[in-house]
Amino acid sequence: MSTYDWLLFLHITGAFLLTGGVVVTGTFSIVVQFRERPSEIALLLGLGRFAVIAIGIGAFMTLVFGLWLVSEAPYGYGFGEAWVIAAIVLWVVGLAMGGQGGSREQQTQELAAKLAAEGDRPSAELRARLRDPVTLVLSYGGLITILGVLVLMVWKPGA
Amino acid sequence: MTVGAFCGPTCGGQLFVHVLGSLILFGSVLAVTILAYAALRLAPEPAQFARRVAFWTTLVLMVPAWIVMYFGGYWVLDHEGLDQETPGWADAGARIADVGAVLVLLLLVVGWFSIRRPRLGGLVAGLATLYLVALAVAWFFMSGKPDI
Repeated sequence: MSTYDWLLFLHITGAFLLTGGVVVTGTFSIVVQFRERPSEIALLLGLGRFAVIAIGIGAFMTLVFGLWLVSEAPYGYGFGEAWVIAAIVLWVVGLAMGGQGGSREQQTQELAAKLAAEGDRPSAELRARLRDPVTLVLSYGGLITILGVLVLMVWKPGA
Repeated sequence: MTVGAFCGPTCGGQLFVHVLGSLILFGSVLAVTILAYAALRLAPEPAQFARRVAFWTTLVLMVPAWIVMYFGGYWVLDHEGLDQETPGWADAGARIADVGAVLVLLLLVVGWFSIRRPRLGGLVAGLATLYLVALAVAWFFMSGKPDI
């Protein structure tokens, strides 16, 4: 295997960790929308922290090995290509949105854990936090943006 | 991606379907793994909840993602005329996908029974971990394309 092949493998490993973590947090976020008990909501949102570790490692690997790949690519494209620049911009925007949404969900998890310790009864405040439109736009917007990066990586428009 | 460069711009749709299915499949297996290990350490009631979510994640997310990944992969091979003389790296990926079908079915069946039989929880965690490793081996072959 050439240097390019190894870099591609490491870049794609990062992509799997990043998107895998996003799928996990997205799945748990959807499931909690249908739950009422604070203890169950706290459990799932709390388990999301393991996915956040995968997202962090994956984000680092996709960027570092992705930039290295562009410099090593034998296919005649470089850092000036529109799809490369657009992918980096979307990567930053997606992670920023996901990070903001994630920190708001962490506050929701803390509230759910507190309510669970105080009798574990359904709460209107917790329900409102789970359906907070700003949090939902940030979280799902981040997911869609990362999907946009995948589209650019597959089609490479203009390359 | 090399596969994208290898296909050329004409197979973007087929490749996107295969890659998207693969990424969601990995994410669903990761979710089930996290839930299964968490269930081993939780009190009985929350552990049962975690195992139930793991089962439904397998049914609603993992099974459809495996189908999309599998048929997307064969769609790419067919489109590129590689279905008759399949390269070794693609053949390795296809064999791992076949084994994956068995693992998904086992996760589905054992996951269902584990909801009411906690002692099966360890088996779910083990199967999910095995599938995570198998998927990593698959994407090594599919991305690095070693000569085999």
